[in-house]
Amino acid sequence: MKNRLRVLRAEQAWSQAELGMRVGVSRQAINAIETGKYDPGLPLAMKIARVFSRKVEEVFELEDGD
Amino acid sequence: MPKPDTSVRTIGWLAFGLLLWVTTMIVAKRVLLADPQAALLRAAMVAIGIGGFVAWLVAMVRFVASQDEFSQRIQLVSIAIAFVAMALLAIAGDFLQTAGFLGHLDFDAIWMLMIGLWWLAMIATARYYR
Repeated sequence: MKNRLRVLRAEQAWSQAELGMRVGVSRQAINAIETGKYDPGLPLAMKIARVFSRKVEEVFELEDGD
Repeated sequence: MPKPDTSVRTIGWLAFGLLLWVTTMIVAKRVLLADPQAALLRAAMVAIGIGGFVAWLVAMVRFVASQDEFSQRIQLVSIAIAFVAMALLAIAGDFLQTAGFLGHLDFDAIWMLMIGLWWLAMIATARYYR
């Protein structure tokens, strides 16, 4: 699954730790999501989309083969 | 959703559980190794030894439950890896014992091996997700 987390976070000038604090997860979790090593569960994905005032599909996108 | 920062309270319970486990284990083992004759005392020491471990187990479950979903994933993968590695070692140990290459194994050694494998798996998993 692709995501635009890094771009959206940069637009807000938030650090990984700050974003993690806003959505209730660790900095390591945000880093793993950004690098594509971890796909968040639905509640977390929705929380992330909400802090950016976006829809989930505007932040996360399925890739071919997913 | 659980908070990312592990609260001091959760860490406190974890430390208390660990302390209780180690203390009860040492006391129960020392008494049992002295080979007491009273069955009631032996039964009590067994119960104390197991009870101390259960206290640590409860604290550990609370600790994992307080983690975020990513940390819980790391724990899940680590335990799965450690389980498979332990199963492999158990099968290998069984064959080695049957073949006469390995002597009697103490339960404590098996337990320490399980803990060691769990920690190794946790380090490897955390490194993978880094």
